[in-house]
Amino acid sequence: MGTVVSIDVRTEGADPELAGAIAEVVTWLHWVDATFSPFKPDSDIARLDRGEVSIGDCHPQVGEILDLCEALRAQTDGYFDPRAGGHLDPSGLVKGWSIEHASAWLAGAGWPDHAIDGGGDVRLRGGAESPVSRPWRVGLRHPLQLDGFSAVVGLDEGAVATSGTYERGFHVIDPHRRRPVVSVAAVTVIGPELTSTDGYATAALAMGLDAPAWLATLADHESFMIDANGDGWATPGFARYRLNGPGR
Amino acid sequence: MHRALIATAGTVVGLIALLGYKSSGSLRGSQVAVSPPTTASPSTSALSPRSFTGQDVQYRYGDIQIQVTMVGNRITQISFPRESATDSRSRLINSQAVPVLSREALAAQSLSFDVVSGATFTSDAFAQALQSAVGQAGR
Repeated sequence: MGTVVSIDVRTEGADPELAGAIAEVVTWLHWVDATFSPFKPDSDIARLDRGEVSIGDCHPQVGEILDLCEALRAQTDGYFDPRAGGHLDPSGLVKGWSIEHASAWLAGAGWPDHAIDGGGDVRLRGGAESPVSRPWRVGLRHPLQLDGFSAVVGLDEGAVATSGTYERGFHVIDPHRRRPVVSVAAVTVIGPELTSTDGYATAALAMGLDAPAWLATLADHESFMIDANGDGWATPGFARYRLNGPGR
Repeated sequence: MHRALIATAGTVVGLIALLGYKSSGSLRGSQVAVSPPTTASPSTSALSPRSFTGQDVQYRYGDIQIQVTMVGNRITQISFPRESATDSRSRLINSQAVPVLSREALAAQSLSFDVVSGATFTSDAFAQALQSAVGQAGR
C-alpha cells in the first residue's frame, strides 16, 4: 500500500540468519499488499469489492480481517468503517495487523528484541530486556511542520500508531457526516498491540474533534492529538511515555 | 544492531510546509504596510487580525475551503467555513483535557530516537485552498 517498512533488531545473532528472517517478513508483507490492497486491481479485496468473487473464494485471512473490521466498526460506533469512502478499504486495520503479525513471527523465529515500523505504525519488543538495555525511542512526527517532531515517547514493549488526515490528501472520511475530516491533523495511540491500536487511531481520526472523549475511555491505551491549528491534547497517562517534548 | 529498509511499491508525495509559509510573490500587490500601533485605537492597526476566505477546492475525496486569520503576513489560525460549527472549533475541548501542548515543534536535530511514527502534511488540495485564502490578503 505504498508503505516503507523498517526493521530494527537488537537481538544478537548471525547476519545470514537474520537476513533470512527479514526476507521472510518482506515476502509476507508483499503478500499482504497483493491480497488486501484496494489499489491493486487483482487483489482479493478489489475483486471482492467489484463483486467478482465471494468471501469464500478469497484467502481465509480475508474473511478473518473483515470480521475484525466489523468488530472494530461496532466498537467505534461506526467511525471505523472500511466502506466509508464508497469502496472496500480495510487498510486502516490491515496495516497494523500485518506489522503485528510480522513482529510476532520474528520474535518466535528467535529475534525477540526488535522494532518494526510500517509507514509510521510501530511495534516494539524487548526494549529494556534487549542487549542494549533501554527503551525504544519513538519520535512522533509533527503533522504540520516538515522535519519537526511533537514528542519522543519511550516503550520497552507495545505499539504506537499514528493516523494523519493530510498524509494522502484528506483521505479520512467521517462516515456519519460523509465528509472528509479536516479539523484534526493527527492522532497517536499507544497500546499493547498494533492491530487494535492502529484501528483505534484510524477511528479516532474519523471522529475529528469529538475523538478525545472516546479515546479517554480506552483502557490500557494512551493518546495524543494535534488539530489543524497545531494545538495539542493528550490523555492524562500519555505523559509517562514522553522522553522529550514541551515541558520536559 | 541490524537495520533493514524495505520499500514496497512507493508512492511519491510532495511535502509542503504549512507553518513555514512566508509572504512571496503569490501575495498580489506589495507588502502590507505596517504602521506603528497607536494606543488610541489599536483595532485599526495594520497588525490587528484579519480574516480571508479562499476558494473551495475540489479534490479526490471531496472539497475543502480554508479561512485564514493573519496578523501582518503571518498566519495565526486556520479554520474551515464549510465544516459544521463543531468541526471549525479551533481548540480541542474536553472535560478531561490536560494542558494544551505547545504548538512549537521540536527540531529533529535536537532529538534522539530509534523509529518514527507519524504522518506529514502532503496535501495538494490543502495547499491550493490555503494559497487561495492567503491570496485574498494581497487584494
